[in-house]
Amino acid sequence: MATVTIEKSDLERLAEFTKNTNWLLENVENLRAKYPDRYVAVLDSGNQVLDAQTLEELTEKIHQRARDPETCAIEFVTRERYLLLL
Amino acid sequence: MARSRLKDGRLQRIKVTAIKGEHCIVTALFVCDHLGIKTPQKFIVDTGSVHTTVPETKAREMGVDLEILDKYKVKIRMGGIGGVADARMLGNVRLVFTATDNSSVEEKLQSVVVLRDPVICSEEERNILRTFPCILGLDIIRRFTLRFEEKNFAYLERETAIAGS
Repeated sequence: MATVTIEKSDLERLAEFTKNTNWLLENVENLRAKYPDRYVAVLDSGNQVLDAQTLEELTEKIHQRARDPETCAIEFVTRERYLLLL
Repeated sequence: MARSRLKDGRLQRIKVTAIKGEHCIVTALFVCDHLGIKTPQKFIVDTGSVHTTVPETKAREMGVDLEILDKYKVKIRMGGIGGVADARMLGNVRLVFTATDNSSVEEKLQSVVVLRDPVICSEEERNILRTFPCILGLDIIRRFTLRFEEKNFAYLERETAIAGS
């Protein structure tokens, strides 16, 4: 079976995704106030936040900025806070 | 207290974001060799889940052909507070974490659960499900100690022997 090689660039993508994800987690209440019931994408550790009504529209905005959606933290920010009951 | 090196080994530490009142979140590269998948994913650290689990929507986004899984792989039933759902098993998965010393920590899993999405009742449900994270289950968590140390952070950590020690 072919093995996928993990390149340095993959780990860099993971690092970027992690920074964006952590920024989103720390700032989700601010995002909720600003973008209720919208999809948001966090780029550049929170220096850029994109929003859209649909995930397709948001993905298009990310592509327009020549960015990789896989490195962005993408979330649907609900108007009201909720917790998952797993 | 920050822990660093032990006498006869190295302490591997993976940082988990654990904001008070929120779920514990960790990120990793999700790798599936036979499908050529390697993509960064967000995981809820869930000690109540036996298996590491990927929602159907996320699996499709990653390029998993669920129809093939339906045809050839083991199907199971999963139950929880939200009800019961069908699931499939996706084999030969690796999760690659980044430790606090920037080294890579690779964890192999014979299989992960791909959970079928529930019947959607509202637009809000649909939207939430589309960005629903993966779940890091006990099959990975129990390989580590989960330690809550600092405000907003926890660590998955374990000692590893240094070669020759």
